[in-house]
Amino acid sequence: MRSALLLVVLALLMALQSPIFGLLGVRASLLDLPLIATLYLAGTSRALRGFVASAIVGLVADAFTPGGLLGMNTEIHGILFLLALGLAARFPLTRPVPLVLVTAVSSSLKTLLFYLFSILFDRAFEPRVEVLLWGLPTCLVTAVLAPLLFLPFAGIDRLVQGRRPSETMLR
Amino acid sequence: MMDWLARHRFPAVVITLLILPLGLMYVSGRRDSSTTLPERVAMSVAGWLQGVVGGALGGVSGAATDYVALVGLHEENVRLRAENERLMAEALEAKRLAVENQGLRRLMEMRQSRRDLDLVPATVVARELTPFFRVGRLSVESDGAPPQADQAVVTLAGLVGRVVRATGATADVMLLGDTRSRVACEVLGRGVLGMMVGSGNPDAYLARFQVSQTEPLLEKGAVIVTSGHDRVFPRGIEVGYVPRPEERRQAGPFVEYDVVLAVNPASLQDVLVVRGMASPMRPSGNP
Repeated sequence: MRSALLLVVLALLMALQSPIFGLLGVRASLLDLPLIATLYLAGTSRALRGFVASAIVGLVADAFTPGGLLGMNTEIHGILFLLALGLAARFPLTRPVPLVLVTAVSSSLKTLLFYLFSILFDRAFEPRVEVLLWGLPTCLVTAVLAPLLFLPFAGIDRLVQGRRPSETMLR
Repeated sequence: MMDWLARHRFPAVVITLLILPLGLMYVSGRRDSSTTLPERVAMSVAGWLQGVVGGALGGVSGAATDYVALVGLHEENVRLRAENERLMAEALEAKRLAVENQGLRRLMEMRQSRRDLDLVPATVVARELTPFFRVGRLSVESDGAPPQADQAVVTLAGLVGRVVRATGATADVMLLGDTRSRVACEVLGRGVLGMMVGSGNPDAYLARFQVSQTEPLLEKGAVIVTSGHDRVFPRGIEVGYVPRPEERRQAGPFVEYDVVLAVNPASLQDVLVVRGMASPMRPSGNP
């Protein structure tokens, strides 16, 4: 129930992202909402349930990413969940500073994985090093805004379970 | 077996869910294949949601603007200022409709002027959500056959890109700026043939025009149009122009020029999809 709600909210946010950023005159690709959802799941869910939900988060991201290879985000988000799960055991992701750092690391890894999988599976992909730089603005903006972007997902937890995973977040 | 699975449930699920997407990527990466069933399902659901949410957001933002304006009016003369605001809103709405009509009329003009092409109107419902691709999503207002992969997308200003994936009335369009984009082109009036390759640069809508070293140097402002040799893009559609030929560079066996593209996708709302050639003298259908 909780995971399903998280996924519905993520899908709605992603559907809103393109028109809202268009109205603001900002590139929609600056914000990586699926990554935030995966990190939130890693910080607040049990391993098995969180992993499955993260894979579905990746599938949602694939559906909303025109031009990408179906399955790429599914794979990447599964891997990122495992990484974030390990990091969450050492750094509390409900605190802003660790969250920003973990988001930056995860976003950079996501760019590298995209590059690697594109070389392996996308016949039309042209491997150029500058591609790695294109992910940098997204990495920075998503990392800085991560504590705020956690709030919609924390709101769902509050709604469904009465939990407050983000109560320490903005201290 | 069940006992083993129960004990190793987590690694079993992890391995399964990490292997399955690899298979999906392999199938999806074969660009010569048609759109697969999982791709069609994903595109249909996401495209529908993006269309609905985009439309609803437009309505809500309009209503919110009106509401904020009305609250301000109560501070002074309510009736007169409301009347004034209403007239102003009507004037703005009329202006907006005039601009929209102008855009649609221009598309219609293009449809009339290129009678050799079978064109169908489409609306942009979403733009790229990743920094790595320059791909948009269209909702095609088709009264006949649905859009298909490898159909060209154009506006009056020039070429936009090509359909890479389609299902129902929804189509993903790879823009000319995408690194994977290739278009057979020629220099207008010079007959110099070459290949337009997307730069992928997210901050500028640029492409690279590659020509043979044996070709004469291009002059500033040289206009690049489609040559039709790739049998995807009809001949004679404007692609862009060469702003600084002196900054050309060597790229393998080619000389490469930067090209400013004719169509800026950031402001695109309405486009035309080329379903094929209307003239019986020209080849029809998709390559």
